[in-house]
Amino acid sequence: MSSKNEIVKTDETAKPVENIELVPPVDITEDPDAFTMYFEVPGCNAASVKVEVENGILTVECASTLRRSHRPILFKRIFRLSRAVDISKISAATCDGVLTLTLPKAEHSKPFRVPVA
Amino acid sequence: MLNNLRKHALLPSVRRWDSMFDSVMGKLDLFPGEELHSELNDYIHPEIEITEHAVTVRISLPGFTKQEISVEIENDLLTVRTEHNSESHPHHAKGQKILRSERLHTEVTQTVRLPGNIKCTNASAVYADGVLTVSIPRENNNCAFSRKIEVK
Repeated sequence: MSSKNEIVKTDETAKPVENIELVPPVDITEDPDAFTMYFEVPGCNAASVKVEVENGILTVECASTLRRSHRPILFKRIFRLSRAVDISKISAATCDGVLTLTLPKAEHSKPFRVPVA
Repeated sequence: MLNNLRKHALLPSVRRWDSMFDSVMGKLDLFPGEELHSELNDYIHPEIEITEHAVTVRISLPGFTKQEISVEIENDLLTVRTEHNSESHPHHAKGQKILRSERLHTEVTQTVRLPGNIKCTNASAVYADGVLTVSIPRENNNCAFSRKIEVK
């Protein structure tokens, strides 16, 4: 019986606490100059948010302080960006558990108004 | 998959959307179907931690401000209510076109039953990063509901 318990114990110590991945709800708005994304990520702040763009793939990962069934919650979502976005100017801010990403449009994608002489 | 696509094709709102924000993973398709919606608005349960000296309740309330949240304790029920000010809807700003709206911009009411022996006059609440933490101290008074009766 005791040996059985030991086996269970070693199993538990060998296994790290896994995150539980949730998909955060997002609102996306567009104005003439930029796209804005609002991610709902409770329990996350600037230090725990990771935003990356690689080959036009935007990855947002936020490690929350909240837990579910004793496992820490990780909010993760992936989007494909179009070339209309100027990735060098993407900015992010967190406030009250909402991550706001601003994706400015590239100059070439903005409408060009032809001046009439 | 085909069935999924057909479902999407039927939705007229899809056409409005900019093609830039279609997602990579199959399950995060262009339009979130019913299945995804249930996953997105996955309810995050309040976390309740009970120790001998205190009760701590953590409730997820993203996107609210401190002023919009009211916390009440009545007998053994902790009730948290929220109300959105009209200004806090960021998308109603002029010139903004909504491409996707998945967040629920509704009022939230959450009630949690507390254990006995709480001192609600000393309760405190902190709101940070979209999480409300309510701490209520407990009295070390076990005799309130349990009593040993002597047999004569």
